[in-house]
This record gives sequence, structure tokens and C-alpha cells, in this order.
Amino acid sequence: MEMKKGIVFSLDAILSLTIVILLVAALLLLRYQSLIPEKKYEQIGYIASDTLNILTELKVYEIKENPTVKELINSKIIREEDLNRSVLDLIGSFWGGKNYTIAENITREVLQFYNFSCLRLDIEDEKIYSSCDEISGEVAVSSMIESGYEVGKPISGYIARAWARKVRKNTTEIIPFLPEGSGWTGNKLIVTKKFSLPTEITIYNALLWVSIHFGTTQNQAEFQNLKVNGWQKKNDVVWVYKEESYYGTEVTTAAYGYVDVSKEIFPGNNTIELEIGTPNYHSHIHPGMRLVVTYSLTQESKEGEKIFKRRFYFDDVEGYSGSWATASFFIPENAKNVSTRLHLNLIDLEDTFDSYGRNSSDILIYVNSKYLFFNDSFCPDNETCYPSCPWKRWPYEYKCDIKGTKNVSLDFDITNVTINGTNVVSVYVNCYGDRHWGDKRSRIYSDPISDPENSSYIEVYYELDEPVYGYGEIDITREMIYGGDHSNPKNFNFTLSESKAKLLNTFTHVAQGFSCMINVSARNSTSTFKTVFISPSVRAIPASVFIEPKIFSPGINYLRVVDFQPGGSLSPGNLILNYSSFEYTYLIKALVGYGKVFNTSQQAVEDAVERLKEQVGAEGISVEEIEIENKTVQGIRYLWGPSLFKVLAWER
Amino acid sequence: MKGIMFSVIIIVLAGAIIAGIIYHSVLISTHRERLLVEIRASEMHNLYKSILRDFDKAIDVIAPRAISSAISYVVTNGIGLDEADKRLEELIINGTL
Repeated sequence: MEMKKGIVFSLDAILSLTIVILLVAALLLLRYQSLIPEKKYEQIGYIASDTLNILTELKVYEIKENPTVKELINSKIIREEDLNRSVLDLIGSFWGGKNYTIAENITREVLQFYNFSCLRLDIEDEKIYSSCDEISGEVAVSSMIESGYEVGKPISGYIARAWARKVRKNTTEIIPFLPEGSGWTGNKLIVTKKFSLPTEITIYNALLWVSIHFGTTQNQAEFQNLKVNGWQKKNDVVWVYKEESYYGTEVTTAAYGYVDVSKEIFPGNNTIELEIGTPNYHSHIHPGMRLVVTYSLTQESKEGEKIFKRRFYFDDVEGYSGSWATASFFIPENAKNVSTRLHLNLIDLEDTFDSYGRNSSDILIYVNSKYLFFNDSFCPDNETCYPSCPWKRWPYEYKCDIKGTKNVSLDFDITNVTINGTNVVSVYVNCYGDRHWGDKRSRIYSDPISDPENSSYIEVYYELDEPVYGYGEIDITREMIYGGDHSNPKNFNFTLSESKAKLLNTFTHVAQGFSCMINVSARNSTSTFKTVFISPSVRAIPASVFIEPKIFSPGINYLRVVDFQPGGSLSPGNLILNYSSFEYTYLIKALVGYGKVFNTSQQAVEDAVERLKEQVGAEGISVEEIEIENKTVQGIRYLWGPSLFKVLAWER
Repeated sequence: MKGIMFSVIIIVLAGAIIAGIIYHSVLISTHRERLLVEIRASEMHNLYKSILRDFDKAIDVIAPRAISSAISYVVTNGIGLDEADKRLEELIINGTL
């Protein structure tokens, strides 16, 4: 019995203990499930919300006795019309105007009455004012979007715009020489280039890049003349690249060099004469020969053209025997009503007959194709058209029956074979490629200065929907040399700044020693390479390859030039020289729009003139005549915001 | 026998108290969540009201400025705005042309 009682007491004790533990646990749970923290949070949430409401509802005139606002009113920064704005609007306005201290002081003076909690005012996550140094514990946030107009900026007054009627600009003009020849096996080639520069210019620099294939040993088979307006410059050429080919004791050289002709080139008409020969093979101009002239020019502001009619003249090519030239021209992608015409004046070409007594073709013309566009007489094929004559001297010279000489004037409408982009027209007289069948001279005549109508040229006509540039835009041309190593393929990249982003025209001038056919492609930093030109036939390498400017964009841009064989394989020995260049013409606006509002007309005008000079001055343009328009404006305010304001509140 | 009865009564009373406490705890938890949602919803509502309130004020400043910019663009470039209503809309909303 005693034993049984003991067990019951023990069980009672265990039960009581268990109940006490459970009660304590339940009370603890109750304690942690209290609403007190939430209520506190709600309370500081109300504080944050009410503070924001105070700042929104309180008007400036209600705090005009606060020191900062009072001072601003006295100094006329805050005007009568600003007094009815909300305090938050005023704070945001000063903050938007970067007057951070004023914004902070106004906030402090409004909120300093309340110091039971910590308060902080933020705008776009930037602190305007805080009553405590650091945030701690639970933080309540109240947000509001607010915007308004900037204090202190005039909303009525004078504005002005300005544009240049006349400017002085520094620009570059590139006058390319066509790939052209021939002076065969010791006979000479004479190329005469006549061209005009604007008359009212000051020339700073003129550099003639020379790219020729000539010989070095046989009499007359050498570099005989390079006359610039009559001055002999052949001994002044600095040769920077040479490739020599030996044929017994005779040497032919593909050479690239430059000569400074700054003192020999003048405004107006100019003439450059080149006379070369080679002991074997034929002498000719290689791709990349060009004159680069940098000058300053006064230009009147006017709208660009919409209708284009321009002539691309051949150089005068006098070859002993045979002559050829590859002319090039371009048609923009968006050109309409395109028409093109080829006019040739060929002098002293020899009329040859083949071994079968057939009148063989002495004039071969190719337009954007490896197949003949025109041949004057019999051709055994429509590609190379070598006459059926025996060798006169191996390997280059045919012994055809020559029955006199003739002068031929030809006119062709080549519109149907014209393409958008770069076009090439190759003309061969008594020769083609590695063969010739004349005896004496043949001449592709051209004198664009004295005798333009009888010269050889390609005349291009096309229309554009919009003028190429608007009134007040100035075109500036610059050249960039590829640099780097000579190579094939040759990659060139350049950075185009935002200020030069509006491109009018872009070209590349490929410089080579030996060459065959080229493929030119371009891309910007985000696009893929787009082919802009492929030679249709051997030697069809344009002096200037036109590239649609829209391919390029601000940032890094890329060009790739590849010399390849007719079968498509790479030409490992035909290097693209690092003296190749990229020519680009960009537009600069020589006008500025209405600017800030000023209290006086004179201030507005001075501001417009200053803005105009600064804008064009960055591109080396000086303004010679300025047109101004100024007028008064009313009620145009400056906006600050919309900005997100936050009031943060937390317990001290 | 009486002892057992007292024990049972104590267990029942203790159980009732614990159940009451747990029920109270669940109720508080629910109320707390509701309170937090209310605070947040109230905050969002205030923000929404401020956007509506600010819109009229902002448009008073933005619209004349956008029109002024459009006029400046036209006189600067010498060409009119194509689809002028859409251009003005873009100017007002994005500040771009």
C-alpha cells in the first residue's frame, strides 16, 4: 500500500511539472507573438508618412521666416510666384539645380522641430538631410514622386540661334591616279594628269604617293620624269617599298614612295607628268598612286546637291606601244534615275589584222565584268581577245599585220551595266594584260582643263531623294593611313568619334606593288563584314573603292582588303601596303539652335555666337560670317524631376 | 479516486489554457501579417496618389518645353517633323526626338 501511494505522488509530481513546463512554453510563445514591434513600426511609418505630407502640403510662404528661405526671398532667388509652391517642390528644385546645401538647410529648418525619432529625406537614393548620423533598427519608408520647375532660371527673356554664312575650313582632297600603262619592253609610258583645285585656297601640304612598275637598266627603261607643274621631282621620291623582279641582268621594280610637292602644287590648274619604262614586260602605274592635298578653303553655307552630273576623267595615257587604263566611279546605294556614259578619244591606235587576214580588235572595253563590253573588230574569244597573230618577241609581243593608224572617238551608254557602289571600266588599246600587238604609240587622250569635251571620261548622272547635306552643314575630308605591316589579307580598323558620325562619303585607296584582283569588305563594331567591292577581272582595281558610309558607326570600324587570284585563292605575294588609306568626308553643323533664356538680347546673342564657335572650332573651322536670329520667349520653364522622394524614419 | 479526478481536472484546465494561448498566438500572427500588408498597401497608395498629383504639374512644364524644342529642331535643321504628333509625344515622354 505504501508503495502504491508513492507511485501516485510521483506521477502527480511529474504531471504537475509537465503542465508547468507547457504553461511556461506557451507564455514564452505568447511573448514572442506580440504585436508590439509591428505597432512600433506602424507608428514610425505614420511619422515618415506624415513628415512627407508636411513637406508636400506646407507652402513656401508658410516658412518664409525660416532663415534660409528668408535669405533666398531677400536675394530675389525665390520670387513672389514661388511662394505658393510646396516645400518639397522647393527642396527638389534646389537639389535639381545642384544647390545641395540650400536644399539641406531648408529641410533641416522645417524638420528640426521633431526630435523624438530620426528622420531622413532622400531624393533618388541620395541623402538630402538626416537628423541622425546612422540608420539603426527598423526603418519605415514613405515615398512620393515630385517634379516642378527650377528656381532662379528665367522663364521669360531672350533666346538666340546662330549659323555661319561663311566659314574657313581645313580639308583634304585626294586626287587618285588610275591604274594604267603601257610602255612595253624598253619603250616608254607617258602619263599626264591634269586637274583643278579650287582657286581660293591656301595649300598647307601636298604629298604625292608614287606607285609604279618600272625598269632600272635598259636605256629608257627607267624612271625618266616626274614633273609637277614642270618641276622635276623624280630624284626627290623617297622609296619606302620595293619589289624587284630579275630578268637576266635587267631588273623591273614595283616601287612605292612619296614626294613632297607642297611647293609645286598651286590653287587652280595643275599638271603632273610621269614618264617611265621597263626593259621587259610593261611599265604602268600600280594601285595606290595619289596626290593628297591639304588646304584651307572659304565655304559659303548652302544646301547640298540632290542632282549629280559629274565627269570622271581618264588620265592622258601614251604608251609605246599599247595603252590601257582602269577608270572607276561610284554610284550611291540610294541613287535614282541613274545614267552613265563613257566617252573615249583614242589617238594613233594601230589598225591590226591577224594571220588569217581578219581585222583584229584593237580596242577592248570591259565594264564591271571580265567579259568584253565592246571590241571594235574580230575577237577569238570574249574575254582576253588575244589576236591570232604569231609571236614577234616572246613572250609579250605579237607580230600582227599593221595597216596604218587611226583616231577613234567612241560614245557608249553604259547605264545598263552600271551598278550601285564602285564601278570599274577598263580600256585596252592595242594590248591586253600581258600582251601587246602594236608597234608605235597608242594614246588614251585626256585634257580635262583645256579640252574637256574631247577628253576621255565617264559621265555620271543620278538623283537623290534628299540633299546630301542640309543648310549650315560643312563637309570636311580627312585621310587615315592603314599603318601596321604590309600583308595580304590586310585588316585596318579605326575609331569613329560621335562628332564625325555623320559621314557623307567614304573611300579606301588600296596601295599595292604587284596585284591581281581585290575583295574589300567593311563592318562596324556590331555588324558582320559586308563585301563592298570585288574586282570583276584581273587588274580591275579601282583607284578609289567607294564604301557606303552607312556601314560605319561611332566606335571601332573595320576594313579588310584581300588580293586574290582569278580562281579565288589568296595571292600570297601581292601584299596590301600599309600606305593604303581610308578617306572619309563627314559633316559638321555650322549652326546652333536656341539656347538658354537670358535677361538681355545681347547676352543671348553672345551665347549663341560662343556656342557656334565652340561647336565648329573643335573641327578646325573658323567662322567668317555669322547670321543671328534672336527673339523673346514667355513661360518656358525648366523642369526638375520627376524624382522619387523618400522619408525614412527610425527610432532614436 | 479523488486524487485522479483532481489530476484530470488539472490536465483539462491546463490543456484549455494552452489551447487558448496557441489560438491567441495564431490570431496575433495573422493580424501581424495583415498589419504589415496594410502598411505596405498604404505606402503604395500614397505613392500612386503622388504620381497622379504630380502628373498635371509636370506636364505644365514639360509640354511647353517639348514644343519649344520641336520648334528649335525645325528651325535648326530646316525640315519639318514627320508625324509631328508622335514626335511631340516622344519628346514629352522620353525627351528625345
